[in-house]
Amino acid sequence: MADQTRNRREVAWRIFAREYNASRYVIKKEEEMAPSYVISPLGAMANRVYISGVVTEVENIGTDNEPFWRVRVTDPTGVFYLSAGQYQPEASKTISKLKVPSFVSVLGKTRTYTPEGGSMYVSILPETIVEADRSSRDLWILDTVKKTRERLNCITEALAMESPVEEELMEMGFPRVVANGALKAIEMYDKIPLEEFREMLLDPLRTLTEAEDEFLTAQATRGISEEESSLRKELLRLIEELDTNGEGAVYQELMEKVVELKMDRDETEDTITKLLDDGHLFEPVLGRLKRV
Amino acid sequence: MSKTKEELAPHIDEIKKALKEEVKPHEIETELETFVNTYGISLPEAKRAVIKKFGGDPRVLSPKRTYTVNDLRTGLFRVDIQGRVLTLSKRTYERDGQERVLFSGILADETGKIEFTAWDDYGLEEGKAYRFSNSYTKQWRGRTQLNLGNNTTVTSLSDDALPPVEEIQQDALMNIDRLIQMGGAPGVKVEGFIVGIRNGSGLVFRCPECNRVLQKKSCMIHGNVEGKPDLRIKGIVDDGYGALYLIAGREVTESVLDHDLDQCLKIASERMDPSSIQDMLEERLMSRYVSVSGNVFTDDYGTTMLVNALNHESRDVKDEANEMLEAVEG
Ligand SMILES: [Zn+2]
Repeated sequence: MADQTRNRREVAWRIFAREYNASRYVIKKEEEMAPSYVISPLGAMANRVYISGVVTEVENIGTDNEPFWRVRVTDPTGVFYLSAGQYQPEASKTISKLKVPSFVSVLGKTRTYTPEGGSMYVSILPETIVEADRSSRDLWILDTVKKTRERLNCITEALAMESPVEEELMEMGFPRVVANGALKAIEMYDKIPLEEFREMLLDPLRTLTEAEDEFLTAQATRGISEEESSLRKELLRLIEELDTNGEGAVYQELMEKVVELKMDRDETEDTITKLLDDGHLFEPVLGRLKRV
Repeated sequence: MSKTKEELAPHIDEIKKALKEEVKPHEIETELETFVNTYGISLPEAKRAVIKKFGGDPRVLSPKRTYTVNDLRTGLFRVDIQGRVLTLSKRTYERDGQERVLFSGILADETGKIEFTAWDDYGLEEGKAYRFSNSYTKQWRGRTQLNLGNNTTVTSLSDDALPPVEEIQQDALMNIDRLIQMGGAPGVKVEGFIVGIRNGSGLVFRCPECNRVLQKKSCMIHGNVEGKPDLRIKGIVDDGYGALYLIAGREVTESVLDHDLDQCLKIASERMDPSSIQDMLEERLMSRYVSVSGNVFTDDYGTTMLVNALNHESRDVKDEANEMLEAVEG
């Protein structure tokens, strides 16, 4: 075959955070310097990924002189965990200037960590981070839905075959790398929750089809009681209203409003904590609240 | 059902070819006989098994014989394919003291284009549609190439058998992994995100003698020379199936920048920094979804496209998302 594997640059897989974080296996060859590949439940075989989303947290857990950065990048399905230190000088420099929140696109190497007796965690070691805008983020979502769906369909077809082979899947029109990955995933994972991943694609698509605001409100109020849902909606609305300069609503002012509107103070505080935990709100600075 | 030596002979020949003539026929014969006559394995299955056993790739035996251009890969035999001859050129060469002719050109169908070589005069004409039966593919300069040899027959097709020349000349969209597997192809298009702009992009100065890009105002062959300014892009596009290096010349770079060479020289001198043009390119291209077309080749550095056109994709995201939402909810 004419496969120039020697000088072949590693492809960057399109994958949503939830699928990436659900990865439990990695392939690593014995040879030194051999690349390793995270095998996702839908058969992404990723040494490298390309992701796009909203920066929701930047933290330096190193020192001022030797920073070590932890960054959370949120997509419509979950959170990507990035870390970068002195060996990622270019990415570290960009991270130190990142605004929260803002759109970014990240090209990075996949990393895994397995605590003793525990199951594997994944993160991303960024090579390049660039500020993005909504339009390139939207195109990433579209591309990633397409590719995730292609992997889903390929696994579904492969599972229906008695002894699936790459060639047969390729005959059906699946790209070689997708067919190859599907077979690996089937081999490694006992049970792949195909239906869950199919449903996972709905939220990203809805961010593109629904007006952004409606979508976030709908997401923030899904699966909870009507009472709490209306409280959440009201709080999100108030926070937006009080966020006059884009730096977030002042907590004190929000509480004054809450008292003024005769809302239950304890319940309100609980709900704000939940909204913060679920990632619908964040604190740009201490004492201020802002919608994602 | 036992097979005689005569019945097995053509298959042994085929296996021998599939193994690139590296295995002796009698060794193949012994193996094939064992599979077929001792173990009663069907002939196609046995052929696959023998090739695998000797370390070959049984896919060259693919039962599929009618191919489209984007199905082709190196090492196929008995290829039937129809296409339109886009370009054709004639060369003469000498073999055994005799002058012979050789035709080469580009064949295209709806799925792509491929270079071909005809080792005989089949009376081909540019723009016409043909079916080639019993042709074969091999690797030439890192790319898959179609060959018309001794056993190939050529049939003329009616003009409406394929789309017209103008339509077929359009660069076909290809997946980068396929493109790398093929070692490249003439006139193709890929779509993906720009994931890298490499150093040496933007404003460069070339040696007036040899056109090499100067490093620190000096040519590696001609030393210190007065450089000629030029613009170029060295980038990486990734479509999620593969990553492809890009090289674009002055014209494409000017259109991406929306500035011509003179304006770029002015900007660089105002900012006293030639690398400011590379920064501009990064701003305009990084993380952008683009379509690029051009010719793709493979060398020691990897697979690279010489870019003829680079366009930002303008797409109706909401429309496409709605369509997909329907399909997913299905
Ligand atoms: Zn020179």
